[in-house]
Amino acid sequence: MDAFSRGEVDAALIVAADPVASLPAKAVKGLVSIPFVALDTHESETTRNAHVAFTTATAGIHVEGTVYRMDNIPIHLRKVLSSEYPSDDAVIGRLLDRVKELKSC
Amino acid sequence: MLRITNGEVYDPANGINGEVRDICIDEGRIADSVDYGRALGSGRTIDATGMIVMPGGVDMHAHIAGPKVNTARKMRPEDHRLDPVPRTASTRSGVGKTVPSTFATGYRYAAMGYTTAFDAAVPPIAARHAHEEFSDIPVIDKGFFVLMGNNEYIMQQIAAGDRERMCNYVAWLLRATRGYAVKMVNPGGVEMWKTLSNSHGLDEEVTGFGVTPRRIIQSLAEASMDLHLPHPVHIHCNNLGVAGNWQTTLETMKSLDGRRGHMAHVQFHSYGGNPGELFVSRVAELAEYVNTHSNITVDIGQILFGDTTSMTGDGPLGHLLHQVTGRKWVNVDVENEAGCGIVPIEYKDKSHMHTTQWAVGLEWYLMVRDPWRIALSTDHPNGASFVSYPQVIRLLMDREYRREALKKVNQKAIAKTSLPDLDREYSLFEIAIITRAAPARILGLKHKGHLGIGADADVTIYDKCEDREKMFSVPRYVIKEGEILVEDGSVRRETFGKTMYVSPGYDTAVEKDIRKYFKKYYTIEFENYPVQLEHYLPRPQEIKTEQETGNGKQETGNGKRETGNGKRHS
Repeated sequence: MDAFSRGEVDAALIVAADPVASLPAKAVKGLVSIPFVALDTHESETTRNAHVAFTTATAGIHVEGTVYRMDNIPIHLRKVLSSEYPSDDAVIGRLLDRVKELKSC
Repeated sequence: MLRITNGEVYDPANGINGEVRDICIDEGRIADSVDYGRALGSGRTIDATGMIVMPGGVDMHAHIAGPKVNTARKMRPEDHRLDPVPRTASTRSGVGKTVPSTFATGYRYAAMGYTTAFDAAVPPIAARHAHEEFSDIPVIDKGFFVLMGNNEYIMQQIAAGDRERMCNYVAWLLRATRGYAVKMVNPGGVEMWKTLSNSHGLDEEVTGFGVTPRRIIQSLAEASMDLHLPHPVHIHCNNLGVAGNWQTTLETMKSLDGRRGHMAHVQFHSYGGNPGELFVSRVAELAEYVNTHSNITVDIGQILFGDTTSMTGDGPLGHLLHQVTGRKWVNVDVENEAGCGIVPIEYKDKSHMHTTQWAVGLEWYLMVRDPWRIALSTDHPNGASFVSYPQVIRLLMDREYRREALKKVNQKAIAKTSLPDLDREYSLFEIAIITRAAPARILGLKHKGHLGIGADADVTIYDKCEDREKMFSVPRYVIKEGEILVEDGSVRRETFGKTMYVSPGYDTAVEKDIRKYFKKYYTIEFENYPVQLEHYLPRPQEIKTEQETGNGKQETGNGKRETGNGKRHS
């Protein structure tokens, strides 16, 4: 947040969060002035302002995974519904692959 | 293929004491040099002339993953700020002085020449968490012990005298958690702590359960043997850190009555004096018992001076430390199963108490005659971080260094111990025993801790150096599963090791009763409890129980016990 406010950040990847709606105005100004990519299951202030926004499947409903309860007990969640959207993991994995590809050439 | 030539080899399990010989590696295992000769032509050779070659180190008692470690990370941001680990071309960034992040944990073990480590205390319900962290600890092979000494279902079965059902439950729980061994922490006492009390002696009844610590210890020692687990019951005694606790420790060893048992971090359990007063060392009596009873093995839990983090499944101990130090404290109640306490602690060389603890640890190393029954440990991070093992090694190998160290500690305290009179110096052969061969043997790992044909090709090569601390801190090469991952103490390539677990057979009829218990007392469904191998163990390695490998005394042919009804998992 401080880094955004001070204008120190060059680019950002925002996953499952809505900082544009929740951070102080100065930090938001810093964030929206740089290129950033957002991943979320639904439209938000942040996805609307992102240079690139991915709609992703909901973890624990469309995608299996582990949830840590408020008392830190880990539970495995099975996929219960299908989704046409990719998981966060799949999107980030492909971004990483692409970055590696671009860096190697 | 890899060949290590002309190294001075220390491989105690195979009786090799500093002979110059070649080690050949093929497909991740130690290979026969004759076969290797035939297939020569490909692969790399390391010229280890003038270097020391040992199996990779094996840490059998540390706290490196799971809920208490992670809680300690959250609790100690100052620990992280003091010790950032920057990323390199081959490794990820991390943090952590006494409670390193997952990646840093793997790199630091590897950089020190250790290739295997076990977490000593995972609450069963949080096993998934420990496995998730294991998936992010690079290089080393790992496993964990499952907390059972305050498990309410187990105590109920012991009280009811249903040994068969308890044994089946222990097997089910080990399988459900993908754990490796049975662990007890302050048996009965952590349960008592949940009602603001504690257990002070082996024959004090655990309120509401009708069992005593003695019966818990004996029952779980027996269950570990009946199930032919590779590692015997792993015991953190009652009364840790309390003056006069040496009698509890002696009683605990006696209560095993010939059954195998591993006594954890004995340093913390060897104090004379009256509760509330200064500690005095009672190692002599305890070491004598260990020397004359081959069913007992120990790891030491050496303390070293400096700041560290105490983390334990011993809830009331956490409270005691908080009261003594006045520092921040976390206490956790794990439903039906266990507890936990975390407190930062600084061991000071001017302190009477801390000097005594330091000397008690060293006395243990120097007074147990058979190194095969000792494992080097600091009970990381309780006594000190695992990165300080090389300092412990120098204290054991270098009498002069030890004498210099003795001058810097509390003189009143040190004069009351026998440490100034102990002249013993460990040889490289003995160090190779207590840091690799013995812990591997105590854990029941036939493929670790030695360089015989077929063993895992985990090898550490050191530049010879008179300063043993320096030598053991920065190995020249560390090889894991046949690949050179560390050169000159830095990790050049990242791989991920295996997770070792056991799957003892049991009568599935017990599940009906466990299911009923879950419905009544757990906040999680029975079906959701077991850790799914396919989701949580990316490189699983089942270690067969001794019965399955045909070494069990009660071999019945196909690993089944007669139980009347029900199917068997085997």
